[in-house]
Amino acid sequence: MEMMALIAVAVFLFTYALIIDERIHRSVAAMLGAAIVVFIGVVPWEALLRHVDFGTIFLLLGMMIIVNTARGSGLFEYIAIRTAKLAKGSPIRVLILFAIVTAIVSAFLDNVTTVLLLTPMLLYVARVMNLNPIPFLVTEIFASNIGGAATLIGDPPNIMIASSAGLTFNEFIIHLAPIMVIDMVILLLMMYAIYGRSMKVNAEERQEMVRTLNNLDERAAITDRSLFNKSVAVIALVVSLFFIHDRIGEILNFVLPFVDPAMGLEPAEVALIGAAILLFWSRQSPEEIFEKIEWPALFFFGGLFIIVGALVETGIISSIAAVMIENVGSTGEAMFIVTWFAAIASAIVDNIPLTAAMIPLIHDLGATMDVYPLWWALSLGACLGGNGTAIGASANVVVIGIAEREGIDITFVDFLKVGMLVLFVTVAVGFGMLWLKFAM
Amino acid sequence: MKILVLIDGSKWSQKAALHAVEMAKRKDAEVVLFSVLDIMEAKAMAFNFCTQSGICDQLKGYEGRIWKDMQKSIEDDQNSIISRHRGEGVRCSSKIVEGSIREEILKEANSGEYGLIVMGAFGRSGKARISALLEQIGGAIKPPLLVVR
Amino acid sequence: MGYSSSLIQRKFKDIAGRRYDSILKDYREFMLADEEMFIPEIRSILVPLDLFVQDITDEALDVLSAYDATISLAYITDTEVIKLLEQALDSESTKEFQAKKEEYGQKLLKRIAAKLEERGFSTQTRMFVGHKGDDVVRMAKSHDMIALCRRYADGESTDVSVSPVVLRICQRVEIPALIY
Repeated sequence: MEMMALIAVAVFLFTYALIIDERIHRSVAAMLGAAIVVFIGVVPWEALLRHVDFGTIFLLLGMMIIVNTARGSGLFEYIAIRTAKLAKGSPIRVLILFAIVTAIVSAFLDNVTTVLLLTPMLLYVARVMNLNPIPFLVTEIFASNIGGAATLIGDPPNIMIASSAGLTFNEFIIHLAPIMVIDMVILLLMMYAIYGRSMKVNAEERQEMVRTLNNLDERAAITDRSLFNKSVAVIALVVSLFFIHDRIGEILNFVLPFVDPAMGLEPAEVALIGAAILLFWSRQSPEEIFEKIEWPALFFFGGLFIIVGALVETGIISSIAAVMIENVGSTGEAMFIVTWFAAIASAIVDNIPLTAAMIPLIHDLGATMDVYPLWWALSLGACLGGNGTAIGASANVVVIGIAEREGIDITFVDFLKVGMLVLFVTVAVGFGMLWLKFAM
Repeated sequence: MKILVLIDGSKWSQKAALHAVEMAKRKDAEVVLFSVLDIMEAKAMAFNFCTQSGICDQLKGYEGRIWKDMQKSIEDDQNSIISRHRGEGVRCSSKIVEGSIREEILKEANSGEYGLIVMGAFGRSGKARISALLEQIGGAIKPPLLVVR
Repeated sequence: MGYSSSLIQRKFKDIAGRRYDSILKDYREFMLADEEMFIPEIRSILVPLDLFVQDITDEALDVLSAYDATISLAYITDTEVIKLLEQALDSESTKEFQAKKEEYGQKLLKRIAAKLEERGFSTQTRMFVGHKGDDVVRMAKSHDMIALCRRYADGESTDVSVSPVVLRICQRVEIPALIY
């Protein structure tokens, strides 16, 4: 057993190092690590099925299908052009509006897709206005991570936490969304304080921008009007189903008396039902849509679950939990440790692998304390910790990567300065609010 | 032969000019770049800007400035096309008139001087819809009309 | 390039590299990119014919002669018309109609091909029953230019507008279109 534990730890550390460095594709690194622990029998088949969280994987899968189908309609380009036009030629309004739209879209769809689709338009607008695009881009990153933290489906760490702890969509809305609204306001104030002065333009430049943007026709972006309408309808349906997913039996029971009122749907089921409806209704070619599913991401999750599963199987996680329990006096103290550890660690490792490792630990702490507040502490730390460094969350990497391709350099250190400031302020505010709610 | 190219400031009309120059080389023809400016467009834009920005006290001034901008930008556009094709051995001239777009184009195109009219398939609003201009003038233009993309 | 910058590049490639390329392409769908500013060589020109297109005008031929291209003439009879006739008439009469129509088409194709060859064009001819819009769009994929008569697929209407089928073809093909 000693040997097994040693190997599990070695594989874990080695894989996470590979993931941080990314010289090998992260999903390949995760699969390789998983292959090793499976091959030597640390994680037998029955345990493997238990450790791989299909709730997370199926939810991601369903949302990927919906988003990729909707993308074909030009929905996101439409949103981007509308947002740019709403700003009416004022750079600071562009910054604020794009931040808010990014946050809202990220709250319901995945962050990577959101920033992938909004960044080209943001760069275009910055170019038209002849302004330094960096303030817009970093604000977009922060907004995406804060928005994603607000809901169960907004950010992978939340999906993983919800699936494992059995939390509902509305619990996220109650406990996290208010924090994120306040953090957004603070973020915008901070960004205004830092970059506001560099964003002045005169009336003529304003007019030039309005004119250029008026030449862009948002309706021209809609390549498929009927698919556009169907996508909007299905996304709205899925989101409203999320709001009632745990009580759906009660509601269905009114119309269909044979449905058990106690029935509830898992978020993953809601996403896959939505995917099925959209595929059926839109008659898009399933081959094309399924091809666009980000399989590497799904295998990345699968591999991580198994590697962390090896730590659980060999008892490493429970020994760490035991040490923690001995040294932690109260729930509030545990919340403090979880929040800040998750925030700082996820700025370094990327929040997905960090959350994968933290979840079983918190389950183990449940033996002696109420872990319900700890889930929110973990979510807060993991999601907002992503803001700290250029590699803290996928959205950061994507935006900075796009910028680099377009010849705009956002260096690691430049980002770190602003990112760490945002991390500490937003996490501190969030922690304060959770503390007032659960530890007072 | 003379070839008339309709220029509206979009990238597609630049491409139309490209086609026309290529054709002119082969047919030893002359290219005329042609644009129509409609004052109503400047009025509409000024009005839009004023309702959006709330700065309305200088509406008249904006209209004038936009009108001047429109003239300047279409001149720039035509000049840049001409300079791009300078040295290719094609006679290339420009003509900008004011008035209603449809009527002015038809008047020019059907004057009997031209053996070919060239236009872009799309206007400034992008690639999703065919240029509205084509529907308006397509039937009434007498010479052959080349629609490029 | 420092470690951090190459690290971000590696991560970007893994997370979003190829997806970003396809998204950029989508954006370019409504903004023309600089690399599109060239003219492909025109080697084959599609010229659809039907009952309403009797001839190719001299002006149009003059333009087409600028290209050293093969002209494919295609005479298309509408499937729907044949179906309708089959319902209205007995099969004998439909066959007769079809034979007449075919004869007319062959004659037209021959006449126009002869005219073209006289002017030094090389030609190909085809005749089939199909859809006047969809089939032309499909055939256009293997040609470099299309030349459409204003009256194509329009009937004997007297107004001066372009046939709606022609406008729709212009919208859907990805090659330059000459309307004559």
